[in-house]
Amino acid sequence: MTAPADVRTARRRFLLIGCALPAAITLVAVALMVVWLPEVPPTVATHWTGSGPDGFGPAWVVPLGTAVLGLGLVALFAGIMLAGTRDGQWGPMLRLLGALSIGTNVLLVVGITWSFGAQRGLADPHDAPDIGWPMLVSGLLALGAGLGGWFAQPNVTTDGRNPARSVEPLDLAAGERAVWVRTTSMTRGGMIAIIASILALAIGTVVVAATGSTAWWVMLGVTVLLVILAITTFVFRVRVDDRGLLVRSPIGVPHFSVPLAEVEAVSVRDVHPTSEFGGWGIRIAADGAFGIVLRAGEALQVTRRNGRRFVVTVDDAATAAALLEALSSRERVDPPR
Amino acid sequence: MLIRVDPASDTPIFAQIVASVHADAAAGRLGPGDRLPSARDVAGSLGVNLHTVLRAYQQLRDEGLVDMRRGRGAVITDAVEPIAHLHHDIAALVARARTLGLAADTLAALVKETYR
Repeated sequence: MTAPADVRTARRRFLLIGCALPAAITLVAVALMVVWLPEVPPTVATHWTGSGPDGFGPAWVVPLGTAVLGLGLVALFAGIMLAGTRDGQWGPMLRLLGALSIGTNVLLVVGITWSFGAQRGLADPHDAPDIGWPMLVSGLLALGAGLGGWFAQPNVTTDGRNPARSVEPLDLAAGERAVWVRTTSMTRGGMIAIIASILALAIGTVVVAATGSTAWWVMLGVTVLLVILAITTFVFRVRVDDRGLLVRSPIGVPHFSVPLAEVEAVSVRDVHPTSEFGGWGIRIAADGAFGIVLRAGEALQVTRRNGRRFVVTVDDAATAAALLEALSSRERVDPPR
Repeated sequence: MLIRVDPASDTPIFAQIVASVHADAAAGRLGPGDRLPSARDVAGSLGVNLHTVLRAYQQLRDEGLVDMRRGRGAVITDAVEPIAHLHHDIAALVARARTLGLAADTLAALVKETYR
């Protein structure tokens, strides 16, 4: 698919700001640290607490780790962008992603390189200087880089992404009652990717625990948290009845609803997860729209009285929209006392 | 799936629920393996008695359209497929009957008579 010229410009700028530049910064920092290697102690401080360094590792691991982390993040951001915009769509979430990429890179690379360089000429890494300043400066630089990265990218939003179709209300008799129910679930590819990354983390936890590091319980906590999040966000039950719209996970938590009295307008549309919501899952878009985005494609969109949009990707959204439209127009004509 | 009931109609509520599930099956909104919402949820949404919904589900089970298993709820069986296949034929027949001014009951009676 050939994308319009402004999308191609936005994509090229993303690749420059969010990929090429962070990769270059990473490589310069790694080169610098390799040059410094003979000057630092063979074992360097790699982790600090408020009172001083408390974690140590071989010096050569730091430039290697920086290269892996820095280039890995570039690959991740590039992958998200390239995979998510194959349909030729673009939106503010991608601009934010590009800015995040350069900001994160500056934060990590400057912080690590500074704390590494500050240990040149030391005999004992326990004497490593405090990292308050490097943290503060790299944080400010990262903020500047992120803001610069945001403004260096064009503001492109393809309107093709938002063809909301209004629907004819379902033909309901005066006292007729109706309910529409449908299960919506994450695409198989998404589920496999999430399960694979949780498994990788679980294996990492076991490895870390085996090395005797105390960090294992933090990783265990994160793993358990991710499992719970995955279980509760893979599948949702969507229901429309005379109380309004309800989207609820099989165990009941989390659940989201729009009461009938809150419904201003109902429509059906196609969702492009990356360009609009920056990805999949329970999402908030740049314009404040709330999305339960489990896949690309058909979605039910409800505009609330306060103008905020509530979007849930679900099959047969047209029937749901027709029913919700009929029920809410009935409510508007004859509000319950 | 869409379930609708009109308390003002002469058709009993449970039969309206059964008819709604038939319509969902015909429209392709239900496939084999799909789970019907729990009878309690449907009763709550429609403001009807739980036993009315259960009676509808029991009739659907007797027809072989759903399978009721303890702990799994009511699950649509393979019997849904022939119904879905006839969807377009039925829609066309009904549209034709409507333009000819034939009432729904008359058409249903004719279909039943012909089937015999």
